Amino acid sequence: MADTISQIRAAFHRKSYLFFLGPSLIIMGSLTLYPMVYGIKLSLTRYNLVRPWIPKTFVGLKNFTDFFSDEYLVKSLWVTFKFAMGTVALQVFIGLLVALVLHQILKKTSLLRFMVLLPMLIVPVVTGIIWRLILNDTYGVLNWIIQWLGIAPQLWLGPDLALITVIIVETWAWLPFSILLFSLGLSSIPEQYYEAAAIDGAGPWRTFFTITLPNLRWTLFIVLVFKFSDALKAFDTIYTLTGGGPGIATRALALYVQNRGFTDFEIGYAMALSILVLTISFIIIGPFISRLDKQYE
Amino acid sequence: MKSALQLFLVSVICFLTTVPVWAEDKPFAGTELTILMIAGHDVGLKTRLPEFEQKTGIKVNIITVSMPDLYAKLGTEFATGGNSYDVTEMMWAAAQGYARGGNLYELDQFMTKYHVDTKSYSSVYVDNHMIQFPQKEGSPVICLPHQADLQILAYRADLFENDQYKAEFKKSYGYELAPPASYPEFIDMAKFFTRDLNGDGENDLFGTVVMGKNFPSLVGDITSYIRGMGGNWLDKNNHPVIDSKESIAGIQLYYDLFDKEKVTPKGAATYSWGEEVADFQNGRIAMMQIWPGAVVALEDKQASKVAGKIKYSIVPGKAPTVGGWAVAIPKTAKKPEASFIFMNWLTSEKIALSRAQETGFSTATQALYDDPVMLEKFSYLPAVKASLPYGKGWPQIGEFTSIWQIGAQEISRIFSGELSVEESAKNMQKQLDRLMTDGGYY
Repeated sequence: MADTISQIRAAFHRKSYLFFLGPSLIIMGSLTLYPMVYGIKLSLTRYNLVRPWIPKTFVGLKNFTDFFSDEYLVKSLWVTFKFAMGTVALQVFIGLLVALVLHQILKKTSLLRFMVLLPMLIVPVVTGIIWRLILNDTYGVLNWIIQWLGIAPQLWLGPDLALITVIIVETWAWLPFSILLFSLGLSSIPEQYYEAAAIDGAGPWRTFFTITLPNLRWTLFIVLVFKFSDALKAFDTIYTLTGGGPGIATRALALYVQNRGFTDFEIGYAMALSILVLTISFIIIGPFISRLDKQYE
Repeated sequence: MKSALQLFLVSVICFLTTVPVWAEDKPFAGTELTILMIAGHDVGLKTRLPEFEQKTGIKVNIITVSMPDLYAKLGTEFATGGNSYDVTEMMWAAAQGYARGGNLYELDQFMTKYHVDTKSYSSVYVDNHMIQFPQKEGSPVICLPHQADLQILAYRADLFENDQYKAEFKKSYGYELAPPASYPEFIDMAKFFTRDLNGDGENDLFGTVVMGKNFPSLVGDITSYIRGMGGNWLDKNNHPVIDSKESIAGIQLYYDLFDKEKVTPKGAATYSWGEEVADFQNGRIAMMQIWPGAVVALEDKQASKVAGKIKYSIVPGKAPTVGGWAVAIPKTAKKPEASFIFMNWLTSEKIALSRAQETGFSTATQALYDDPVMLEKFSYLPAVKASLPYGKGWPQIGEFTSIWQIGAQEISRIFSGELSVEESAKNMQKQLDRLMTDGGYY
């Protein structure tokens, strides 16, 4: 009897990790694994929510092979590419510039730092609506200002400028994030480096390229990872600002997925597109993360 | 003591005998209904609901959403078998689609039980069997008419009746300035009114307005132009004909107003209903094709600078689209009879007429067009009445919302400069053909 009890106790001790891991595994499984498996299953079906008379059928990889003949997907990928390059370049360049200015000149002005962060605190949907009002070609304040300056009013959300406008608004909204990370990166560079450079007679440009930038490379990496990831998923600002228009001129990938899923209600195809977004994100961002992992090892 | 006991017993008997009567009067007392509606279609309801609630004991919660949100909600609701809504509003053709999918409750038993007289509804919906599925005589009733829409032309009477403008127009075009009876006249007048009023070098009054945004309203707006030129989306056998010569002429006419004639605001490529209405309210537009539902906004003295200065006529192509909204009960509704009691009250002549009288909301009751007081009070009603014989409905098929999506996307691409009219029509034809093949129509 005593042996049995001690055997049970030993077995319990050997498997006690299950007791602690169990709840997490169940929660992770039900909230992450199950939706993912269900999503993959849906991506292999033809399933339309508003035309239930078309039977839900297993179509294998057809949804994925349809990508090659989907001209709208190609356009969305092209819009996403331009959007990602534009927003990432602007956010890195301007973010770094502003962080440098704040670091050099306004070290103690925390109120200003807080104000710089304000746009990031606004809900993206609200950002889109506010800017849509500002940019309205007839009643918007921006055209009123440029007309006052003697410049002809512009169709900011028209066919020629819509994508550029969307990139600028997205940059405005998320620039504080880059500024914040670059500011933290700059704070972590020891002052002695700059003092030594000054003693050696290095000018501002040389100091920047030989001390500041190399020491910020991992911050830059993190900014790039986050910003590329955000750009690939960009939805809310575009949705509220242009709705993907004019036509489909600003319909980025995430908006296209939403359109196929909740406008056309082609759930199977939309799910296959979601998996494509995930794969693209992984291909682009994976190497960045792998480099970061190695750095911290 | 004895009399007190007698009094008590009498009271108990009275109570016990009246409870069943009370319960009989309000068999759904305590029931709560959730109603899904398009924003703005609940006007005049808030003040009338207490009376309904008191009479029936049914508590009503109305949720209002935008059109895309409504279809997104219904799509997921029906797909998942949810029962969040007891009554929902929907466009006519959408009702056909939902009924085909088995998502709507058949109402015949309640129609009989509550002695509903369909003659009280706008005849265009009843006579064309739009409340039934399939859309033919003898089919089950699946929805009731709530809001009536038939496209009309709103025009600025202060401009059209201005003596100076009348003389100028006659001199330039050789005929009288009056509501346009054809598209050539419409274009002449649109060109005439497009002008720079304040001398800053920019036009601030435009002949008309179109919408180029990828949004279902675009299809709603352009369809009367397509039909006015003899084209259509589908023929009577449900074959797509959007790439026909006539349909292309209609699309071209619509786009020319923006691109070639330049009689619309420059920003129209990004416009939808909201922007069109705002421009008209601000006095920037001389003529605009509208749905009567928009009259409330145009004639709102607080929001519209041109309220009281607008008159209405039949659209130039004489092919106005019949739109409008119906109310139906989702198959999953918890208490369909209570839902029907509310629907029947909502669409009854008494409520529909009083709401229209108070707010100008174009409810779908025939009495609206037969009431001389109403015809005089609401200046748009005679135009609607005159347009009724020309009204053409949407294709009453389940694929209706998909046709809208395809149309809005491809026509908006003309406005963004991505496609020519012919390329757009070809794209639409291809997609509609696939849609109808999938639907099993041929």
